[in-house]
Amino acid sequence: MIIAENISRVYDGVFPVRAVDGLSLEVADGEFLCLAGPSGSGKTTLLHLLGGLERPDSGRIAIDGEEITGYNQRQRARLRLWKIGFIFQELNLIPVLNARENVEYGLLLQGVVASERRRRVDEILAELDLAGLAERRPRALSRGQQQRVAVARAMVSRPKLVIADEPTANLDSHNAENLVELMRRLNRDRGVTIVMATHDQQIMKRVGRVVSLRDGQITGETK
Amino acid sequence: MLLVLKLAWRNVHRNTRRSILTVLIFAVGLATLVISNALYDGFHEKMVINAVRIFIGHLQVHAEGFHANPTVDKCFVPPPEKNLDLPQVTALARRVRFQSLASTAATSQGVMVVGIEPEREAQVTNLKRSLVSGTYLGSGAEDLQSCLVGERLMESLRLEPGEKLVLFGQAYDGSIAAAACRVTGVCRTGNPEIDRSCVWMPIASAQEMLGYGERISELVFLTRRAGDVPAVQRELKHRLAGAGLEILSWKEVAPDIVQLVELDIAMQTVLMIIISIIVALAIMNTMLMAIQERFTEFGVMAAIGTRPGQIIAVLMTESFFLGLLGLAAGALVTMLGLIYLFWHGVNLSAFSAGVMKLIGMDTTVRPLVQLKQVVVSSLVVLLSGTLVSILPALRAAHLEPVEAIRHI
Repeated sequence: MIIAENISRVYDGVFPVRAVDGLSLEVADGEFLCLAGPSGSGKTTLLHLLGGLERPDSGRIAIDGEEITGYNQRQRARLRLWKIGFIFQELNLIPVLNARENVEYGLLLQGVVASERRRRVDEILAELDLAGLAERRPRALSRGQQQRVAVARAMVSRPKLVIADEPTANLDSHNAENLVELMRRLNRDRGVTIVMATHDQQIMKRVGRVVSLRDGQITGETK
Repeated sequence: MLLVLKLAWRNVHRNTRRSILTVLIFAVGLATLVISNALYDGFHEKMVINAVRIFIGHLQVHAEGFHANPTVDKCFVPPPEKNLDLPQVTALARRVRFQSLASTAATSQGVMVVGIEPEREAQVTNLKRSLVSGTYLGSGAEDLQSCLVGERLMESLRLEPGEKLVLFGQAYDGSIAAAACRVTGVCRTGNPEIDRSCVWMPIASAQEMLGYGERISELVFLTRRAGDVPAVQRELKHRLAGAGLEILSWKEVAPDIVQLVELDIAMQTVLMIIISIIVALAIMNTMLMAIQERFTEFGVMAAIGTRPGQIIAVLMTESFFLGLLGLAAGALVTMLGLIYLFWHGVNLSAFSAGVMKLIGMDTTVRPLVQLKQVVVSSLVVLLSGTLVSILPALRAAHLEPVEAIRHI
């Protein structure tokens, strides 16, 4: 699914920062991979590179057989629209749209017809126990509910890959566990590849494969 | 498209205070433009109407060269009136006009004498209505020795109503012409120069004084509307071709008024540009603030596949909606302002004593609203406020998603 070969990303400045440093990684189809490491280890940067939000300064990345290293902004936007779903740590949702509309947003960008959009949105909202909250705007939802809506939005467009950057960081332990369990179920039932960054040890234990990072390089791996 | 409209419309309501401020900027901009243009146009209309109705009419016909050099020899026998009959012409009068020396017992002064057909003159100009004392001229034999004098001329000649005035000039054959008349009425036309220098007498008296016979100095026409003047002028030129006559519109007779109006229009345009720039800058400032607060949201939108063009469309549409709301609010403010100004008017004599010379005694100007001006002003305000949003919109749309997401 994902092949990253010798990728690096350096942030320029007075003191340049090698956020990712000659890293190589392969992620299989349908795998649930966790990136672990302390703050500043390069987890978020690696997620951004794998998700097409940033371009590596060197190396190559291929997703689902598609070489994305040299893509321009428009091509990367298209990639993200059709193949990749995102769940961020916070501020995931568009404030002026309700839960249903937020979930539907990507389908609208894809040009899915109204009846199919309605069916898919209803299905995923029911699956994630959000049907009763569909008409609420984000400010009327708890953090846990907002993150579930973000998961629904990421999944509804049937991506090949979901990138989640510390989605449980601002949740209490109960909601965090529920969210990860939800993502595991979707990974299992839908076969979508998930790459998630976290520094939560409890969550790492529930995931199939954990890759540890430090200073932009892989330091270890557990399954 | 619907998604863009939905997002844009909902974002308008997101920060009510800021949206109200933006709407007010549009509204005040529109009101300023429309009201200032309406006052300018009202001022111009007053200038033109007064010039036309005080003395010059819409069109004048003279012997060729008379307008440039109004000497006694430049006169003509008027063509048959059936040749001058046009549907757009509402009134027509003959005049004899010449320079003269007016003498009283106390003093003498150069004046302009205008020999008129009293009733027809009253249809073309406001002369009869400008009478402030005495009686207007009649057409009977008993009126041949009567004259009307401008109010300020009465003062400078130290005349009293009923007193005699002696006029000296040059006759058609070059000899000295003289006539005596009794002041039967005093006129206040509103134009200080005319009031200071004019004497009106029956045309027959003027023709006799100059030895003109049937000859006259000018024909003065009043048309139904100012817009009819070019067509009437063309037709008269066609009908009177080869007669050695010049047919002049009011613009050619009084080019100074035209130049003043054109200068004012240029000032109006400059004012419109300045107001548009102010509106645009103010809108851009509020849009920049609005967009700055939403960078992370734009980053998330870009991350999930929204194209830069779609983000720009949302922001521009948002600005456009605010503009439409601003125009609606502006229309209300403008209407209230115009109603007030129409009711009370603006007294320009408070600003300039010389304004009477331009617009007559009534120095109160009322707005004249023209649909074209309203439409142009609305478009200028709407477009300047909307288009200026493209700069912050481009910035938001071309942020790298990561850069935007990190902008917390």
